[in-house]
Amino acid sequence: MLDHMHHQAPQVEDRDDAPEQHMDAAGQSLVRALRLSFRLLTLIMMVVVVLFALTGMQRIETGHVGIKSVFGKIVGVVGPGLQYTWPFPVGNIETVDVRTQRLLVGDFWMFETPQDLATDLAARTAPEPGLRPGLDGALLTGDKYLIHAELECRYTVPAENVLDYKRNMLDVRNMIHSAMCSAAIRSAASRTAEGLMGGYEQDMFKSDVHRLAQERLDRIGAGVSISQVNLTRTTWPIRALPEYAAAQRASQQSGDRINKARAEAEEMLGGAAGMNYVKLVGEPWRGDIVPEFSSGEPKEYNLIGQYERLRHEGKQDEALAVWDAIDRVLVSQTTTGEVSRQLTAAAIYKDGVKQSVMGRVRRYEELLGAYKENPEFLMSREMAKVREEILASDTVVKWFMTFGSSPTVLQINTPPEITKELRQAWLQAARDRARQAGPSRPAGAR
Amino acid sequence: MKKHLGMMVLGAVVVGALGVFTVAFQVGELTDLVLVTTWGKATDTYSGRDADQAGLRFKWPYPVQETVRYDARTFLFEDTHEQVQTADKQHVLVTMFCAWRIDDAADFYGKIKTVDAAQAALKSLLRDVKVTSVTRRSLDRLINTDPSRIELDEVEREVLAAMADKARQDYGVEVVMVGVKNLGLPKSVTETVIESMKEERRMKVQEYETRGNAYATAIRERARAASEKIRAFSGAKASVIRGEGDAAAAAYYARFGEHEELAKFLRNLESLKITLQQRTVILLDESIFPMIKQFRQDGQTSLAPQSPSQAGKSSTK
Repeated sequence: MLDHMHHQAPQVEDRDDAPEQHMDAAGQSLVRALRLSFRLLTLIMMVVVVLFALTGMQRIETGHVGIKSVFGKIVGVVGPGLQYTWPFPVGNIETVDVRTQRLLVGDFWMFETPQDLATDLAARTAPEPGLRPGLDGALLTGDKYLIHAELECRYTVPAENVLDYKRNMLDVRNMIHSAMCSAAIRSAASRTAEGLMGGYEQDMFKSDVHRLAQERLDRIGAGVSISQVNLTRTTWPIRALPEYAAAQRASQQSGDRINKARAEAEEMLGGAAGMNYVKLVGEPWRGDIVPEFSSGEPKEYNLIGQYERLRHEGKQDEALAVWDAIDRVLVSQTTTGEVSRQLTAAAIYKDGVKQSVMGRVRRYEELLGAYKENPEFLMSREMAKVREEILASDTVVKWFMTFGSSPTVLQINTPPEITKELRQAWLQAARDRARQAGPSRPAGAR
Repeated sequence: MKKHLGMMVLGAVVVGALGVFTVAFQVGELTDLVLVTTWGKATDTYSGRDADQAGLRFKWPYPVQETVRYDARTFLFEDTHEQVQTADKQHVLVTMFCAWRIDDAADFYGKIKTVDAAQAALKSLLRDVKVTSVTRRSLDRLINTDPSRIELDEVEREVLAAMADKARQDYGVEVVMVGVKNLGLPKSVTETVIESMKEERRMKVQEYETRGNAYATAIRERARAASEKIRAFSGAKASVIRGEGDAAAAAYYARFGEHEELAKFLRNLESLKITLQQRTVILLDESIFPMIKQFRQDGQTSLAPQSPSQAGKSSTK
């Protein structure tokens, strides 16, 4: 139609008629406008087509992968970067987050108001004597107790599992949540509440929850990998907290008492033999641990215990071997304390007595010749020497006395503190005698 | 005509695409279950689980044929937190979850049609079989510190087995998994439990105190006994060493045999010297030192008391 008008226009222009010329000008204008509109529309449509084609481009962020499909059929899994597929509805790229994600499982934790959250657990008061079903969650333990616990799960969808994940997981977080709850119920059901509150048992609980939840997810081909399970919070029911705190304090104090006793014991034994006491008597606070004696050198732990047991069992030869080992420890340079002092004193005595006798023998032999010649003279001479030595000593008090016709009386006074002690002892003895004589008189009786 | 060929092709493509849209449909791989109905009757099903069935598919345009699309993936729901009585008359609150998926789309469409309806029906079924299974067991079969006595896995297996056949036959769904999601106690029971926990802790306080004292005493006693043993062994060793000294000395004593009196005399002198050299008061009179008489000149130079009363004041240390 437009083409037709375009071909008609020159024919109109050929006519030499003013009104018709005017109409031709209007027609030409219309033709131009229509031509412009047509070209504009063509341009817009081309732009739309190009833009439509560009919708097939998609940016895949780091930590994500894309599942590319054409007419719904999966044609590949692509990594981060700019990716292209056919525009919608022909092609599609569905992204899957493969980063580690965190899921908090609060099903076994108590209901908390904003005010509760701002208050320390120990300072809270339980709104009701029991737990409110549907509000206050708790784990029921194997010993039929209740504890509150909050779990945290960290999981990922490994890039190699994204197709499994897509095939099976409609609501992955809810599925992991259910698997975690189920695993926690199962693990707590066979453990004690005390165990779940800390230490090795708690670690085992976390490990079991991890394993059981993963098994469950694997069973339905979830394509999810749990990397970590944590217990973010645990507590006893609020109403029982004061009693638990008291018990904890008592436990702490008990531990302190035991530690103090142990420190005293270590000091006592260290005072006896230094650090070698372990070799001699072991560590008594660990119980009566006596290593088995086998042939050769005995184990250097509780040697005295080993010796006593071997004696008790009638194994004399083995006992002697242990005795030698004890002997070596006793005289060792590293043995200190009372043992060391005692043995040093004995060694000094040993040397001293020998030296002393040798000295006497020497003196005896020196004087023997003179004695044989005149025993009395030698004895009185030696006696006089000793008397002079004694009387010349600064620490000896000498009283020279001359006696007249009247008798000489020496009065020996007892020091006052001794007198006082004697008097107290006498009074105590009198009281004891009175007590033994019969029951005390009733109050007020004379 | 040639000049506008491009536009005409474009137009034809658009019209063609719109036409295709009425007769074609996609089956998403892994995620879709598509049912084609002809005049309202299910005639074809396409499952995205099967890669060969996924992709572009065709049908007659509406109203001759229609498609019904379901999700092929696993659905999940949990039942209500419900009180159940165990075989030993205890009350527990048990919640279970159930994972399920549409097994046969045509069957599902014919029997229950919607996911919501299926979920409601499964929830009711789950509740019934759960109660049956839990009621048969005592509480100590659900929680017990002896893991071998716990039958939670058996409960899950029973519930799954009981649901699976019925769900497949009645609703065309596959029950993939069931699990205990929560196990609790009614409020009144938790009150009792908490009270017993408190009482147990009070007893623990006493136990800790007693045990702490007992352990501490035992440690001290053991250490004391061990210390005594060390001393005894050390004393024995010291005796041996001293004995060696005495034995060595005894060898020398033999030499005194020739003049024993001299040896004794010398030994007595030695003793006398040792004994009298420290803090001793010695009264010396004229019999020992006759020279003292020289001091006696009518008693004026005597060191002795002048009268009996003065004599009484003399003292010794």
